[in-house]
Amino acid sequence: MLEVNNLVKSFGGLQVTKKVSFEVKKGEIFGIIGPNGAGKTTMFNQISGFIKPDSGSITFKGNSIEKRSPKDICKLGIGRTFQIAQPFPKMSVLENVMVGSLLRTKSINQAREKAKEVLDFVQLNVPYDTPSSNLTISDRKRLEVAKALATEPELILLDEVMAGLNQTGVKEFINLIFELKKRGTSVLIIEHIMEAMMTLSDRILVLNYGEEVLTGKPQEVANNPKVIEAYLGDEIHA
Amino acid sequence: MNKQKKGMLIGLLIVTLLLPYLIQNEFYLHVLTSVLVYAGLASSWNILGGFAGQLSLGHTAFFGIGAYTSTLLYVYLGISPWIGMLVGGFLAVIVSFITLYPSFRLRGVFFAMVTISFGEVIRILFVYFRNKTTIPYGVTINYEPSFTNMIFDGPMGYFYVSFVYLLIILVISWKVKNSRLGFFLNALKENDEAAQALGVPTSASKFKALAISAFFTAIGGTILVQNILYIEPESAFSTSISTELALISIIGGIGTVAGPVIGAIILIPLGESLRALFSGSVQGLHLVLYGVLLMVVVLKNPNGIMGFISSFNKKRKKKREVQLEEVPDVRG
Amino acid sequence: MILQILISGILLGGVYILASIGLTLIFGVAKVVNFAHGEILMLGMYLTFWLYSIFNLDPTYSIAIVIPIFFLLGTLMYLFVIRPSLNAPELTQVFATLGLSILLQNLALLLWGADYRTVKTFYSNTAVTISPEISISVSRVVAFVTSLLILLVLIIFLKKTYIGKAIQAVSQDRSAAMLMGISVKRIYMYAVGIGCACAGLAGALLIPQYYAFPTAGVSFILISFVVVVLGGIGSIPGAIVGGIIVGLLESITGVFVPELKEASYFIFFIVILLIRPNGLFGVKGAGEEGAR
Ligand SMILES: Nc1ncnc2c1ncn2[C@@H]1O[C@H](COP(=O)(O)OP(=O)(O)OP(=O)(O)O)[C@@H](O)[C@H]1O
Ligand SMILES: [Mg+2]
Repeated sequence: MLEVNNLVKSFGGLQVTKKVSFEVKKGEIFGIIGPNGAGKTTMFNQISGFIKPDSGSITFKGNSIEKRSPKDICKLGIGRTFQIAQPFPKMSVLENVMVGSLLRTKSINQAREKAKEVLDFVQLNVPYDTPSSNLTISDRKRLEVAKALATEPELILLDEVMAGLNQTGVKEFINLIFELKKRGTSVLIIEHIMEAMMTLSDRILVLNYGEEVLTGKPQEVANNPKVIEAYLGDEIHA
Repeated sequence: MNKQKKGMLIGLLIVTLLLPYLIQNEFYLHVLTSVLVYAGLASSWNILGGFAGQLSLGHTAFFGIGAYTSTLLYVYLGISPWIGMLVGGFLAVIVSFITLYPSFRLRGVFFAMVTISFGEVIRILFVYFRNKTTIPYGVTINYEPSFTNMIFDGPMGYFYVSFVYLLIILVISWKVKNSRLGFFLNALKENDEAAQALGVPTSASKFKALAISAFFTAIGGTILVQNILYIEPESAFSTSISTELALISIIGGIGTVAGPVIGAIILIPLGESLRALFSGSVQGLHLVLYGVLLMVVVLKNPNGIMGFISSFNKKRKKKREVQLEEVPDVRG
Repeated sequence: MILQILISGILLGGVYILASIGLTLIFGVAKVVNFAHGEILMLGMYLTFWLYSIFNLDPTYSIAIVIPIFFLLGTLMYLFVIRPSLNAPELTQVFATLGLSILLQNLALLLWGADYRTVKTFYSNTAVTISPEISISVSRVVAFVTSLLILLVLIIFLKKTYIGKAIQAVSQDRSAAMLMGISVKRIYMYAVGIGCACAGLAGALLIPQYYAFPTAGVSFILISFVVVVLGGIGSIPGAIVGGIIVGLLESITGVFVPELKEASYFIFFIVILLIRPNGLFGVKGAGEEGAR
């Protein structure tokens, strides 16, 4: 479904993505992990069109998208969340999500119904007209996911949506993501919480300093010394 | 919109339509007409400045283009201002596309700076090219009342033309605000990146807002010049027009449909009566007041009068809800 | 001919540098564009005019009065207009100082009428003729030299004094300066005060050449926009280069199409702003303010 091939990106002199390649299959939950600054978010930014890669290709459902604009990529069926939630602060929760659902319909009423459905699905249990600036951190994350889901993506990119949540919150999110998978949505997910990644992911890509350390099943990744080294190395750095 | 609101609006409409018959005084009627035109102009500005959040200070260019196009077409080629008005509108849209559209990639304050400059460039270029022609500095439109000439004998005609103008732009504002485009504009105003991530066509949406805004600002230019029957570059392309349109919208409530109307209802009579009271001796008094009002509003209450009204309504609603919760006891 | 154009362009540039230095200083530190900058300059012209017509004080000496008064005016403006708009939405950032500019313009109109006023110094209308082709107006030279001197003083102040260094630190990196224990808010106040003093000073030095009238500031603020954006807004060396460029541009177009000299630098400005929002030399940091 999504193929990333030899992607390269540098900021100034710093190479943040070094010839990374991977593939996300339909209906798969694909995880990306790596220490802080490994280039995970930058990868998302390139897939979603916010940053143009220096070289390499990104193909989605057979279309090459590395030069497309964010809105075209979203239209093609890739939804994304931001690591730091980006609500429209003066709009209500419902209106926030409606912006997303209006991508697929012109009718305000249909968009509203769709938005309510999505809000219920992500279990954002606040009144629809709550100003989005009043939300708690975990509700903000849910809203972030709801907005992306409202665009009816076939592939959704989730950037640390569980960061800062408590145990129950994480569990709820894990169930939510499995539910998404059941509905046939492919998921590309970045997360620092290892247990979550181990349970969720079909396969995991480990990045370090913009480079692929390895790609494999959760079990392979967990037992690989190179991965441990990458994380330990980071701790020594810090 | 609920029934009560609808009824109130229709009532307001009928009263406004009858006003010229109630007010026999020419001066008051003139002020009232100004209120309508400026409310329409400010509403046009508001579609770009308020709905899309692009704080243009170059709208004087569109105003001047509208006013001049219809006037020159009428005076030199005998083309009816009704047609000239539309030509001016389309010309303004073309100019807006060349000038403001590329400026959209600049952030707020810089957008304001570059749009002021664009307004100035258009004025300078206009003055320059006028010198190369035989068109005099000030152009007077001959007083030949007829509907086709958009010249009327008496204030009544202007009143109704302005009324229809305002009505059209208000209906369009309302439609835009409550459509997909309105949602998109609101989203890109609040967070451009997040909007793009949701597939909002940010450029196309801004362009639509710009086109509507420029078109109706130009139309307002024609209506105003037909009212005065005189035009000159310094006043038609004056930077203060852009500022005034923004000011009216902001005081009334930027980004709302009713805001510009409320702003015009307050500011225009204020300005006109101060001007009439202190004609000549104390120039600029109303503008001093405008300046102070603008500062106070943006610093203390950037949502303007509409902001007050909506927060007041919310409080009242809450109160009513509390009361309702207590009522069932009694009824039950 | 070419030399004449160059000389008058550079002299003009000196004036423009002076007119815009305060704007760039305030932006560099507080990241606020002061739309009332032109009106402050206009008030500087009026003050100098009144000092001259009431006390017969030569514009060059009136500097000693203009500087403290306008510094004070600047601190007041900071406290009442700029500080409340620092973290406010764009709307407030644009229209608070724009409202002030409308207020000041029309206050001047109210108080002093629309008459054009100027100060005639003994050198006002004299010009030095160097060769048959080159003649230089003395008051331009005086303004140019004084503005260079003032610029020098300003730069030394920024480099050598504690407040000056703090201003520079804040303008380069707000949070780092805060960590170093600099009281950022106070530095803002000083910077706005100094920026206003510069604007008032510019008015004082320009009055022998230009007329004071209520809307005299409008053309200066527009030119200042061009100057500071060309050089990279917030950068003082940038403003110097920008001023010279605008001066030259104006004197060159002035020869060929005098009516379009203003349009020429506006168009140049617009093109620059659109293709290089960071200014010609790409000052770091300014770009984040300029482009999305
Ligand atoms: N726009 C940019 N300009 C310059 N450098 C950038 C930019 N965006 C990211 N970087 C740098 O690229 C590197 C990778 O950043 P990225 O945000 O992709 O890391 P990450 O893996 O998402 O980290 P984290 O786990 O902390 O979110 C970092 O060193 C960062 O400073
Ligand atoms: Mg990240």
